[in-house]
Amino acid sequence: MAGDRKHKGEILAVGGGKGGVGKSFILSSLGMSLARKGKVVMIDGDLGGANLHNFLGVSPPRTSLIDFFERKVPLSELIVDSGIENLSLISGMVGTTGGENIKYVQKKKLFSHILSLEADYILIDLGAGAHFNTIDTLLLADRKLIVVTPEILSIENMYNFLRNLFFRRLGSALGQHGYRELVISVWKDRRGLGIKNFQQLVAHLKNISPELRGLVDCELKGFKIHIVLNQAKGHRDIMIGNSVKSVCRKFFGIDAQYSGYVEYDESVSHSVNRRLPYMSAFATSRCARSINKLADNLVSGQQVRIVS
Amino acid sequence: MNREAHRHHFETLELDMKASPAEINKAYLLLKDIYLNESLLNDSLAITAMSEEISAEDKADILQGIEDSYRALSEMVSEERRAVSALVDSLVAGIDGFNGAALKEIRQRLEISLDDMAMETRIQREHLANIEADNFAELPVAVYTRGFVLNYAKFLSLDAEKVTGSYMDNFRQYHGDGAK
Ligand SMILES: Nc1ncnc2c1ncn2[C@@H]1O[C@H](COP(=O)(O)OP(=O)(O)O)[C@@H](O)[C@H]1O
Ligand SMILES: [Mg+2]
Repeated sequence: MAGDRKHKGEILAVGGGKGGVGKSFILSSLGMSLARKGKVVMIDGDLGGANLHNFLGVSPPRTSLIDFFERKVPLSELIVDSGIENLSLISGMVGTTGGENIKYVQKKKLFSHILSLEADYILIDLGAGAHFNTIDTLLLADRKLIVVTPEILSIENMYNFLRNLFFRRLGSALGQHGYRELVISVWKDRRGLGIKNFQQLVAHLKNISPELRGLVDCELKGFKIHIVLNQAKGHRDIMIGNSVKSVCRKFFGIDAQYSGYVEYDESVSHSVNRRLPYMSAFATSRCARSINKLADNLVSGQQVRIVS
Repeated sequence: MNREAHRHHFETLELDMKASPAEINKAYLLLKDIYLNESLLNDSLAITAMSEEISAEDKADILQGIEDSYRALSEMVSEERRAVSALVDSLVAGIDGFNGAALKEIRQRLEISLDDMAMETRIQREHLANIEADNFAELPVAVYTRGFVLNYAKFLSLDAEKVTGSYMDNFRQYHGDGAK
């Protein structure tokens, strides 16, 4: 588990199934908010659609992860200034191919470079979809943020993403005990085994042996995610975060936290279009304040309070 | 209630073990709302998005679990309240004048720290300490001191009127009867 490792900065990564839900906006804004507390390095890990620089209002940096992969430049040399104090950026522009064909060794090397970056907070933006490179990067993070919007497609997508995320993690955790093939085959044959949902799948694994039961329970309990509800337009939307969290806890059995919500604000797209970093252009807006609150919650471990 | 059951009930209501009775109530109402709601409104969106995997029985089971845990925790809360009020009654029985020392004694027997009390009552720790030391010279004017003592007494589930009356007699005596 990434959290056990002794690295310097705290790694936060943001994922989630769907494109356009606001992952990059939230991550870049969190970066600006956290930069008031410590040194922040942001990594644009959306290799196919790198756009973090847009949210910070800077032009595309000339160096990027492409130099890491193709010219073997150390990651720390790819850090560029963001124009904002305490905040720097590693760009992700890798051209059109995306990150799908990055080889295993390259990925491992990238991870070890990330772990040795000098910063208080290392923030990683990820692309949409559940490609295993995306999932592995999210699993590397100490805090795994999942962004949803109050829409059914986004929530469905998130559940799907979580299933993938958890099984990838379970696969590697059980793999260390010699069960790798077993997990993969159960996952693949789930239809034939009459497994209709996540709960049944987990139950199936647990019933194989007491040892497996112990391992699976331990992985589920130790699997923590932070739900962030974006584009909230009112109280009812905010409450959706609570129900999503509840479903994750009750049906997936994972340790889901509702760490914060971000209000909807038309000015977000205006500031992106004008290449202004939202958090400084609209520092006192309700949306910006909700992001600051989210940042505080992530640091302190608190959750959204239930108001009735 | 054993520790394991205790933990289970808090977990079912998705609370941490330090949750207050008010938080327990809120969590219960919220969860009931989530799993009862059959409509396609926002509140049940999180369930609707999983409707293929969540059967009516699943929901019924969950609701039952929520109901059971809430009952168990409510019972625990009232038991605690009964125990505290019995303890308070026994502590107060022998006291006829509530001076600072008596209040301090009661607070300590209830195992409440000054820091916790300051946080919960939002009265500065210093004022609380002055109340307990009968440090009338350092306490604010009568109206404020009276308010502090009132909240102090309420926080310890004491008879607030009686405590304030008795404490303020001493306060006035110290300042001379003219003090307001
Ligand atoms: N809280 C919000 N309020 C208003 N618009 C938002 C908000 N969050 C995101 N957006 C809009 O959605 C667009 C897509 O967001 P983006 O962060 O690029 O999504 P993702 O990274 O998940 O694909 C942004 O350009 C922005 O205009
Ligand atoms: Mg993005």
